[in-house]
Amino acid sequence: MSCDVLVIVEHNEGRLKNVSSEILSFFGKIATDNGVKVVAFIFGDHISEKLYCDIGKLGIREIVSHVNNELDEQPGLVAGMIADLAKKVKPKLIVMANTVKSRDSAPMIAQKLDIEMFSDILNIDYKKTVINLARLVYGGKAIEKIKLLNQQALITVRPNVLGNDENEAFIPTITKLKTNELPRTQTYLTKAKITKEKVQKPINEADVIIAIGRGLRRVEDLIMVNDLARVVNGVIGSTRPVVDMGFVRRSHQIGQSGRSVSPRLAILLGISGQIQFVAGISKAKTIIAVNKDSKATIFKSADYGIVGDIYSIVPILTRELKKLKLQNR
Amino acid sequence: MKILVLVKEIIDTNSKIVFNKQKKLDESQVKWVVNLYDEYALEEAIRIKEQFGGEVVIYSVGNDRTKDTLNYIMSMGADRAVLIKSELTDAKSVSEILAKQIREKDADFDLILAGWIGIDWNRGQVPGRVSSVLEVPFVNVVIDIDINGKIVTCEKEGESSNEIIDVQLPALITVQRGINEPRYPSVLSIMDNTEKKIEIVDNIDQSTTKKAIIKIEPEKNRKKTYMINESDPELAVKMLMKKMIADKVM
Repeated sequence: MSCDVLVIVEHNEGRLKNVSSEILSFFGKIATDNGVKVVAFIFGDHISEKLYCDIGKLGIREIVSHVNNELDEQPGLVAGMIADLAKKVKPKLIVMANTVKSRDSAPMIAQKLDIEMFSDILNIDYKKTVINLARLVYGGKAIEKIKLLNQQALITVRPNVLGNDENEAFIPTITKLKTNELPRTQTYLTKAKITKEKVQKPINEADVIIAIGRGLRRVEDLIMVNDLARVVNGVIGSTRPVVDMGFVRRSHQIGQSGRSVSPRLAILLGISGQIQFVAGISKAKTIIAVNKDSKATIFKSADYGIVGDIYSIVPILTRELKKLKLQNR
Repeated sequence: MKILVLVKEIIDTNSKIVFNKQKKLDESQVKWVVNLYDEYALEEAIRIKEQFGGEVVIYSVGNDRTKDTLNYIMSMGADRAVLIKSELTDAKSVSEILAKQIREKDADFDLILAGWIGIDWNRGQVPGRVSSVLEVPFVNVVIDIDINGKIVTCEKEGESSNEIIDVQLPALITVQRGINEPRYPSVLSIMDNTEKKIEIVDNIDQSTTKKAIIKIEPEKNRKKTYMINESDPELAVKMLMKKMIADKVM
């Protein structure tokens, strides 16, 4: 079996991750339109028939799967497994999602295969003979444009950038990998998992983000922000100072020394617009900023700006959005 | 303990990123600094040395200018540095250069620490690649390190939960912000004119891998902001909703 594109699929609790659906539908469309051979690889435990079905619905005809409940905790083994598969099917392009999981294994996979890797890709222009990619560098101030000419490469794709294509559904053929029992290794042992209190979606996969800055004065104000977040189904993130003060987890810090995110909608509350923060949010599709200072630099980076007191604006905005939501039911 | 630290000199992304008429980055306007996350790695290495004794060695791929940055950062408490001069900046080449020099000069390392990502290029590849070449276990994005003999217990930033990972030394671990507060380089040490022990190595490019064609361009700015400067908050929100519905954002 050989292919042009190998997509590494991520799933969680019996469902495809949104970012994996985006990648699969993107390449599913290319497979149908251009006769490109795309294979999806899914691994881990709890892989149901429904998952295979969901992949097929996105336009994918071939799936390779490996069921194993020990892989989850072992990036080194995952890297070895994917590299071995890639050596068998020889894809020109290996596509992963840019997630917490892939950032561990992807560089090792690329090195094992002796190929280049490009992470956090924002744009893919795919042809069999030439692939054009784009990603952000220099704190979001510049774009790196990459042209691949017939060389094998691995890319990780940012969530929320590819969109979702409607494709012809297939009943995919499934090849189940049988590997020898994975080496019981003492070199990397996951002893425990510390579950964070509220299991929040990883911020870089959120569709809507509410980001708060120092304009928020007390931790109690988070209740107001939470109400807004709930109405829009948003994830709360913040600037670095707010994380340093302990109001928000570091994993939800947005910016140069935090995460880079591309939500469909970002609502920025009480954020002045320091370049270190903007670097992480600049790729949001739509940005709304609320700040009581009309001269705040954040407005330069926003599509919509309200000059006003967040304590007045946010409750009203929450109420109006709730109304709109009910109207649209 | 012998602790190696991978350090990268980067463009200070706070400085003005200016493109000249040929759409090339104007490097004269740029300040060079140590990658933020590598500072955390170096601080962690020095703390481990203070706890267990041993040696902290910096490894860096750069050029002549990098020597100044290394001189400065070594004053935090590193013992020596190996600076490999190379024009190559792609992650794969840099990783292979580092691994090769480490194998030749300090193959008996106990631990390699690195920042988990460089904030200039936002790649996060080199540490994982180096661990692969050196064939040591790799723990990525760690906020706490605790060493007990040959076992290192790490708290690693996970998806919905942090994970406690044990690995056996030798290993390569990358650090995340929050693991420590880096000390300032000792003023006395910076002012000390005696040459810091920096070994400079010239790298000869022997790679045959075909590389991608790369171009850097300025990022376009967002189109004009729709500003609402209305003192009545009810009215302000109404105006926002109306515009966003008209623009089909809501």
